[in-house]
Amino acid sequence: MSVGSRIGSWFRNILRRERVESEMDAELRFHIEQRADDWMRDDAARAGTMTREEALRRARLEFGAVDKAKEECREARGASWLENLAQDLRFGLRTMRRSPGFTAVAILSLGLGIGANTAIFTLINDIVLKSLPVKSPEKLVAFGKEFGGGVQDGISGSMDMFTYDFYKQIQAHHEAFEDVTGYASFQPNVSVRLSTNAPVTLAVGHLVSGNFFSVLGAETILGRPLEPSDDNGASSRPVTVISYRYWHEAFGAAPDVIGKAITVNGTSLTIVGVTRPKFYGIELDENPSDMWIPIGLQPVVMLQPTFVGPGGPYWMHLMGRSKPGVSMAQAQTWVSLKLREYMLDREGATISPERRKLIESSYVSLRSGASGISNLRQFYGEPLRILMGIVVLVLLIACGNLANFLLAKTASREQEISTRLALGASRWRVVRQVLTESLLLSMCGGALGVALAYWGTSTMIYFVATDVKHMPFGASPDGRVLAFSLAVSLATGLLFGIGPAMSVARMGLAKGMKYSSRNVAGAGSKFGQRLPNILVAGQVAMSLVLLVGAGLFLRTLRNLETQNYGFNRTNLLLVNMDPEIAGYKEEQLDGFYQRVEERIGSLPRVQAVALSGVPPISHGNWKCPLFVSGREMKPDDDVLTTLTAVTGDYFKATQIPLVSGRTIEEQDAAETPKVVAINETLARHFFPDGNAIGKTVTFGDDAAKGEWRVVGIVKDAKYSEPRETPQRMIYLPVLQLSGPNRFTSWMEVRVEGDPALVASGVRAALAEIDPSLPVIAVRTIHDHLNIFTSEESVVSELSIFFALLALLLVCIGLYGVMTYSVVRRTNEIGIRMALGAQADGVLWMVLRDSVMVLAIGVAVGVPVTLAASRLVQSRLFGLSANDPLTLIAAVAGVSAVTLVCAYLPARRATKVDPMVALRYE
Amino acid sequence: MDKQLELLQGTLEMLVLKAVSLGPLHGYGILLRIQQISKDRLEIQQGSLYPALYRLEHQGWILSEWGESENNRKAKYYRLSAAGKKRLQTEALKWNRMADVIAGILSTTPEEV
Repeated sequence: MSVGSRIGSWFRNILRRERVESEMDAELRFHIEQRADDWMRDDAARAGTMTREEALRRARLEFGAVDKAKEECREARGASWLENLAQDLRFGLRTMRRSPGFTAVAILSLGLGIGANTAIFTLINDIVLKSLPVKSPEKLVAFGKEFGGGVQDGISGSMDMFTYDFYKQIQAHHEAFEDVTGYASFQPNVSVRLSTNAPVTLAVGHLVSGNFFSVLGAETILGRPLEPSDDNGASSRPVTVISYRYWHEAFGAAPDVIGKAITVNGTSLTIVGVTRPKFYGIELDENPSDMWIPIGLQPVVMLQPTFVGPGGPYWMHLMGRSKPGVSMAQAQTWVSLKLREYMLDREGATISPERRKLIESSYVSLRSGASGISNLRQFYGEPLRILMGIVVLVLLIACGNLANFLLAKTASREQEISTRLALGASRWRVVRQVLTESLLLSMCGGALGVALAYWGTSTMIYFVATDVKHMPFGASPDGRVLAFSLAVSLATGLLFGIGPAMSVARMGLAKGMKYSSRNVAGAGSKFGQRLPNILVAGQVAMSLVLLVGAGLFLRTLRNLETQNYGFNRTNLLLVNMDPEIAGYKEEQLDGFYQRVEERIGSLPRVQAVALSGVPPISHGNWKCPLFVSGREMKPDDDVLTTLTAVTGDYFKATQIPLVSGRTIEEQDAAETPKVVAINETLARHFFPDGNAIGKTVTFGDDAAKGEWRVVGIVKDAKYSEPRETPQRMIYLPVLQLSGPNRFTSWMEVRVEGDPALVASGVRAALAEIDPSLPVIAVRTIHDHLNIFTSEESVVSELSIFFALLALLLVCIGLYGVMTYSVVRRTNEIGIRMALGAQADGVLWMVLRDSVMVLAIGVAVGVPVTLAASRLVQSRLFGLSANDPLTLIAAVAGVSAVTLVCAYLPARRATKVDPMVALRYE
Repeated sequence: MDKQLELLQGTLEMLVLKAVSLGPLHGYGILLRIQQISKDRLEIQQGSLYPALYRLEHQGWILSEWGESENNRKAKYYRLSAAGKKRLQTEALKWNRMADVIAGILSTTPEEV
């Protein structure tokens, strides 16, 4: 009944608007003409002299306001929102075109604000939010680990590394999990020959159990994934699955890659599958896996004796797929129990009661594995959140500007709007038109923002990942990012559209029609007049927060960079190479190290050369327990120390000062007695009474067997990161070690002058010694240290950029508001000057407003800043969050800039010619 | 003649339906007919007639089509739809009932309270 005809008339309205308009017109005209006819007839009957025009005029008067009636008809018909929207959009576009300058600035500010937000959100999405690109990632459960790296936390009870036979035990039982997969805790570089006689290249290999792909729920686009039958301990099938990217890079996406054999670390492996494009394995980090290899082939990949036999080391991480009906708590209890049983069983009947107690307190903490494991998340999670806060403030400041501009425009349209209202437009209609205009601006800004964000994110990734070959994510926005962008654009448009919309909603009809209303200083409500000033004060406060933040981060970075690291941080060149992959055997290392040190040492400008297992500062350090001979160790003792294996000239190259005794020297080689050098912190901890030299120590690690005599104490340095507190460190001569730790992969070269100049010479020399030696990186110590402060660099650089941007926006806003206010008060100023006011007085009168705004902004901004800074205290170094110097500098900066911006329009006020002003309407 | 009575709120639509029920008319004709059958005792704002007509058409109680008037001008004619007929009956019933109740209240004497 009505529904059908309602829809019918609705459609008619949309499709045939013009026709309907002309029909309505015709109908009303007909009515008037009929009325006029009747008037004429009546008049003729009375023998009057009415003309047709008079009759028509009477009829029209009688009818009333034709336009109003038409408008009501249109509304009665339910003229569609779609039509109105189209009309509003057209009007909005016309308005935008009429003031191109303003429109350009508005869209640019919005583009920068929304773009910055989108860029940061893209990174947050990639690093923190996204799930693994597999089926049902929410069912994945990580055993104890959320972040990468393989530091076994043997003391505090939470285990995250496991042995191969423990994995096999767990995997066989399906009580708590549908299935469990195990994978190596780190992914080494492997040498790859794509065919016989092809050159050696490096790739990143990941050892995984046969059910890795099935547990994760990842599929292949070519061939097949690894299967449980491939993984058979020592007799695993020599197969591998490669990543999509590696397939493109190494094989040019050749379709015949399945079944091809490649030589990995000297062993032939057959490629059986290629993974999907987005799949990067289980770890979201730089340099993602190129190939996945059955875990039984571990000796091939790691070039070490097998780990996968009974009694093997704790070296694997586990990830399970949860079983429906089993809760996390139940699963956790089961696994922890199984773990304790295993550990007791493994260590045999003769366990000390202390060890037993330790085992009983071990457990496995199950975490969600949906987003995989990520170091990037651990390091960049908080900085990204801070950056998000920063760009939100920038966007709010931009919104403030737009709100002020639109308020001014709306105020100047008062006449037009009042006329419209008088002609019968509903107030809601006009408000809707104002909102449409704001949304149009914000959507255009949003579109620009998405483009800017793509560019910005790419640049950020490029600068952060300097030494990285590949990142597992890019800058392209996905659905979630685009939805975010859209939501932000809409919210922004509504936010700065509210002000003007409300001022329209309250606009008086009669007052607006007066032609001089534009210049009546009392136009608008008290609040409406104050609103621009309030907004600017808010902007000042926010930009103060941003400036102080930027200052604190910048100073933190400088403090970190210029602090004393304990070793030479200007004249070192570091080289990362891998003789193990090149095929060197343990016995050949002696001669190899000598050759290298001699050759490099003879290069011009080289003052010292040394080799070591890790660089002077490194994230991945060797740690194990240390025992002093002849001393009773209690189970609760803290005996962990960091170790590093070095060659004789290490201290000469790194210039770590000697405190007493002697450092490790050339003479400390395989045949001579085993000696070690310790740092001050270790000496204080283990030998508090001071007589460290001459004492003997042993290690809780088979790689450093035997008794070692302490021969020297050296000064402390930083070993794993710039912010660390003094750590215990012990240096061992590398040639007195046996097994894998005899291999060094880092070389330190002390250079006279700029180390960068020697880089190519060093590369050439190494190529001379052995062309097949893979040189993974050559970098100065300065670049190396930058890696350790990359998060701080990113945060401080970006925060400075955004703080300056914010300040620029505030200046534009303040300048605009002040100029507008001066123009509005031109009349008033003219009168004052005509009555005798001096230029200075006028200047001060106008500036007074700005000073008030500035004062309020600072007054509000300072406590807000102090509160906000406290949130980032943990990221600061060398200064407190309430650092007065930074705060004062920021306040001074903001004040200076805003006063300059306010001064210019104020000066214009003094140039007003009273006669012109009085005549000005 | 007594001064014309102003229409009570919402009754114009009912009157339009009644006018149209007596035969199809264009807008001007509806105005004349209402004046005629009310014996000119009602004051009708011409400006509110057409919005009322459009409302009634939107709600489906009258249907329209273009035709030719008496003096060969193009005019839009309205007629009652089936639903409109029912609507007129219900509205008329409601009106009469309301009139009864009000009349009863107004004629209450002090003794009946």
